[in-house]
Amino acid sequence: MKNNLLKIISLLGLVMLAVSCSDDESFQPSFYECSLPFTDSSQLHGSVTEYQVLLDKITGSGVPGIMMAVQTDAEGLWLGTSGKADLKSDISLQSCNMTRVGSTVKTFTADGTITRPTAG
Amino acid sequence: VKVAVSNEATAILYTKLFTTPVHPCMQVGTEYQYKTGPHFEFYQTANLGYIYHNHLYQGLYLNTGIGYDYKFNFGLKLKGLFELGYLHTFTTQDEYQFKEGEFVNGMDQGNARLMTMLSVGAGYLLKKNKPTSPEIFLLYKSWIEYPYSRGFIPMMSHINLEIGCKFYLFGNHEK
Repeated sequence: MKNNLLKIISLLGLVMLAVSCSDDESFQPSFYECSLPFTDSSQLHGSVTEYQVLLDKITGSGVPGIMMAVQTDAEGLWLGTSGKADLKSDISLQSCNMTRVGSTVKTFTADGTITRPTAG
Repeated sequence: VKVAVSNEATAILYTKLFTTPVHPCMQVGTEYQYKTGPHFEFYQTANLGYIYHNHLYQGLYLNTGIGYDYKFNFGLKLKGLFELGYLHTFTTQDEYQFKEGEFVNGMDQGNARLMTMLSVGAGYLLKKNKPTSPEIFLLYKSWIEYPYSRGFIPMMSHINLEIGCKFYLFGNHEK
């Protein structure tokens, strides 16, 4: 009986291990190519150097990749990135790439909650 | 000797029973009985386990604790355990470290955790009249991993649904 119990438990453990293993998700370089019908005029923006230095400073401190968008009435839209979209494949981050916002969205939610009532 | 397998889930305690995808754990352990009576057992546990969470981590743990079983005449046992232990985890993903301005691929020394576990469940004595009866058991284990992510998420709660068996290595031994 002891041996049978051991066999059953061991077999169950092996089956659970087998079904729980899967390959990590990996992306081909083509996944990161930009195909949006959008003309980026960020390089003509008045603060391009200032913003880019800021992003490079952040990635220089150990953040793998960061993107930022700044929209003002006077200077229009600036989109910029620094760092990598994929460390394994050594692919640089572009402003068209998708990133997870994670807890960053909390900041935007708080900002909106405060400013919208103020704006009426 | 106890041998058990379980399915781990990162979940709020007592909100889930069994989740998918399966994150298997395997555990071997032993017990030392402090006191026994016709309807109870009070004992110390010592366990060694392995936990595998696909895409996140794998880890080894050692824990020990106390357990109390209430025994019914027909072989059923109600079980409660409180255990403390050490868990050491390693990521299952590619790992990068920031060195001299760039990321380089490489493993670190893993992460040290404390685990605090409260388990409740039931067991069944397969030969209820023998003091060395084999036992099968089912436990719902709720546990806290600390620290989890320093400066961000201090601790993480987990649950395991565990099935296992307990037997004496030397079947004819009478305690």
